[in-house]
Amino acid sequence: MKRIVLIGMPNTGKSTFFNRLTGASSRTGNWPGVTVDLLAAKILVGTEMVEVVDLPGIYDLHGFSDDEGVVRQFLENNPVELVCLVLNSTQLDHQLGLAVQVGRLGLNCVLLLNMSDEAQHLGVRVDTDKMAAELGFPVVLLSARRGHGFPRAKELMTSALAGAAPCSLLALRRQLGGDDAVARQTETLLERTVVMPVVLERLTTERLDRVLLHPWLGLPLFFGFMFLVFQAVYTLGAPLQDGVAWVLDEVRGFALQPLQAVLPHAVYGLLVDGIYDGVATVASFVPVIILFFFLMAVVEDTGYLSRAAFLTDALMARFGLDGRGFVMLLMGFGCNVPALMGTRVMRSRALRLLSMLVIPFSLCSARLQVFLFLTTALFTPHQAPLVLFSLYMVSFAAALGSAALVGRRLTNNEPFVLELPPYRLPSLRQVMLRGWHEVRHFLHRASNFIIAGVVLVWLLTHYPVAIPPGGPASLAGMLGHWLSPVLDPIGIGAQMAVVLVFGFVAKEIVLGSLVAMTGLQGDALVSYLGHQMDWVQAYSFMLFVLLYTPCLSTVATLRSESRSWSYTAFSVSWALGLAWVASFAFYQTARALGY
Amino acid sequence: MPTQNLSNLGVGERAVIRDIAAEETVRKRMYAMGLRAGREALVMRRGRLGGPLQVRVGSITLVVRRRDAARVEVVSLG
Repeated sequence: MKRIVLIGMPNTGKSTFFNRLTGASSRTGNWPGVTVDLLAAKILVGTEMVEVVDLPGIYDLHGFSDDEGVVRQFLENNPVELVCLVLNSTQLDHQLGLAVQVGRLGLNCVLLLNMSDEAQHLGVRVDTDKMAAELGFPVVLLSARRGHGFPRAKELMTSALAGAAPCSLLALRRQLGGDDAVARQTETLLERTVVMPVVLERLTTERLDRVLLHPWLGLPLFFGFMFLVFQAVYTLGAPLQDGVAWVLDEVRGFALQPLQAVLPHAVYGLLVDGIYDGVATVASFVPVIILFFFLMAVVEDTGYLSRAAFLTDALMARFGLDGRGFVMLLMGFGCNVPALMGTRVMRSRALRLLSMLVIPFSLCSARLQVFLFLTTALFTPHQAPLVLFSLYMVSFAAALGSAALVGRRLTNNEPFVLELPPYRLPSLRQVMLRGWHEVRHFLHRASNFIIAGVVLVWLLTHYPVAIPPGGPASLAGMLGHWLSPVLDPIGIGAQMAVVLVFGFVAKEIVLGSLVAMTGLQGDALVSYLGHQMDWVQAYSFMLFVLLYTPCLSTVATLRSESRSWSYTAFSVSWALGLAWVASFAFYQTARALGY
Repeated sequence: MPTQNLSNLGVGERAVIRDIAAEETVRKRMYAMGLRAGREALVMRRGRLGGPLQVRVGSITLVVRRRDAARVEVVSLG
C-alpha cells in the first residue's frame, strides 16, 4: 500500500487537515525505527487505498528536538510515496524554509498553504504557480478548517501519487546541505513569490491580549477560567460518571448475577468481581476524559493555553516546570488521568516527564470523596474544612517540592521559546474528534493494565477461598500484617493497611472496601472509625492516601504516556516514599508533642 | 553602535537580531523558532516578576524566557 505522510510546523492546522482528510477513521500505531505512537488512517485517494500518517509538528528537518528526531527516523526507516507539506500561509517568512528543505531532499511532495483565508484577510499574496515552478512540486491554497481548496488539494495528491515510486532517505541530515544555502534559497523564493505586509494587523488578537495578558488582570482571569473549566468537568462529568456506573451496575445485576448459580464460586468471583468490575472502573473514566479533552481542545485551539503559559511561567520556572505544566496540574485536581495525557502539548521530553511526575499529587475528586468522609467522621464541623484545606496545601507543596527536588536532574538546557498563536475560534469538528481520539487511546492503552491490577487485588483479598474478603486470613490481610513494621510508625493499623491495598486500584473503592470489611454503613461506620482511630492517625492516613498513588488508571497512563517502565516505577516509588516520609514526620511529631 | 541583548529591551522597543550567543543545539532551536540574525524583533510585553517576554519577529509572536532572551544579541532601533 502506498503511503502519504503529513509534515508541517506546529500551529499550521496540520491536524485539522488530517482530520478533514481521514474523518474519524484514524488510529494510533507503531512504525519501524520510531519510538512514539503516530496517528494514521487508510483512505481512498483516487482509486487507490493509501495509508496517511500524521507526523509530529516540526520546525526544521534537521533540528534536535524529540519530534524532529521522530520525523527523521520515520523518513529514514519507512518508504514514503508522497509528502504533504502543510504550511501556515500567514507565516511564510518563517515556514517556507521547510519547503526548500523538502525540495532539496527530492521527495515527491504537494505543498498545502493552509489558513489561506486568514492570510488573504491580512493582505498576504502568494503566486502559487511561480512558487510551484521554483520548488518543482505542486502548490495549493487551502483552508483546512473551512474546506476551501480541499477538493483541489485532493486532486493534486491523486495525480502526484499516480506512478509515484517509494522513496526512503538515508542519513537525512547529510542530504540536506548547509543552513546558509537553504536560507539563501528561501529568501529568494520569498522575494519572488510572496507579498507580505510589513506589519500583520491582528487587531482582535491584540485587543484581547490587552485584557487577557494584562499585568494585573491576566492572572485573576486565568484562575477564573480554570475554575470554570474545572466546574464544567465536574458538574457535567459527575452525573455522567454516575450514569455510566448505574448502567454497568444494572448489567451486572440483570445479566451477570444469574451466572452465580451456574458457575463455580471462584470462577464467578474472578469473572464478575474481578474482571467485570475492572472493566467498569475503566469505563467510569470515559465521561471525564471526553469532557476534559473537549474543554482542553477549546483552551488549546483558541490559543489561550500559550497565554496561560506566559502568565504563570515566572512562578513555574523556579520549580523547573513551565506554565503549561501548571495548567495540567490544576486540571489534575479533577482527575489525574486526562491531565497526564494533556502533557503531550509539551515538546521537551524532560519537561514532560517532570510534569507527569508532579501531576499525581493533585488532590483529585476520588481522593476528595475519601477525605470528605473521614474528615466528617473524625473532626468537628468547624475543623473539617480547615483539615481539607490543609490537604490541598499539602498537595500543592508535594507537587512543587517534588519538581524542585527532581527537576534539577531531569531538566536540560533547552531554551523555552513558545509560539503565541493568534486567537481563533475552535471548530466543533476538531474538538469532537479530539475527545474521541483521546478516549480511544485511553481505553486501548489502559484497559489490559487495569484489568490485570484489579484481578490481582481481587486474588489478594479473596484467596485463600472461603474466608471473609480482605479479612486477616486473606493474602491482603497477611500483607497488611507483614507491612506492620512499615505502617505502625505512621499510625496505620492492619485493617487500614488492607484499605490502602484496595486504594491502589482506585480511591473510589476505598469507602466500599471499608463497608465490605466491617459490615457497617453510614453513621455506624463513622462511629466505628471514630473508635478505631484518633485524629492523629486519621490525618496520617489521609496524608498517605493523598500522596502514595492516585490509582491504577493513573499508573497505567503514566506507563503509556512515558513508554517507560523504569520511569513509571520511579514515579510510583517516589510517591510512595514521599507519602511515607510525610506521614511519618507528621505522626511522630504529633505524638511527640503529646497529641 | 552598542550591542544589547533582547532581555534588556523595553516594551515597544525595536531591534535587529545580530547573533545568538549559545551552543549549537540551542542556537539551532532558536533559529528554527524564528530568532535569526538579521530579523527585526519588537518587544510587545514583559511578564511580571521576572516572567518571559512577548516578542514579535516578522509574522510570528513568541514567548521567550528572559534567560534565553539574554542570549540574543541585538542592536536597538529605538
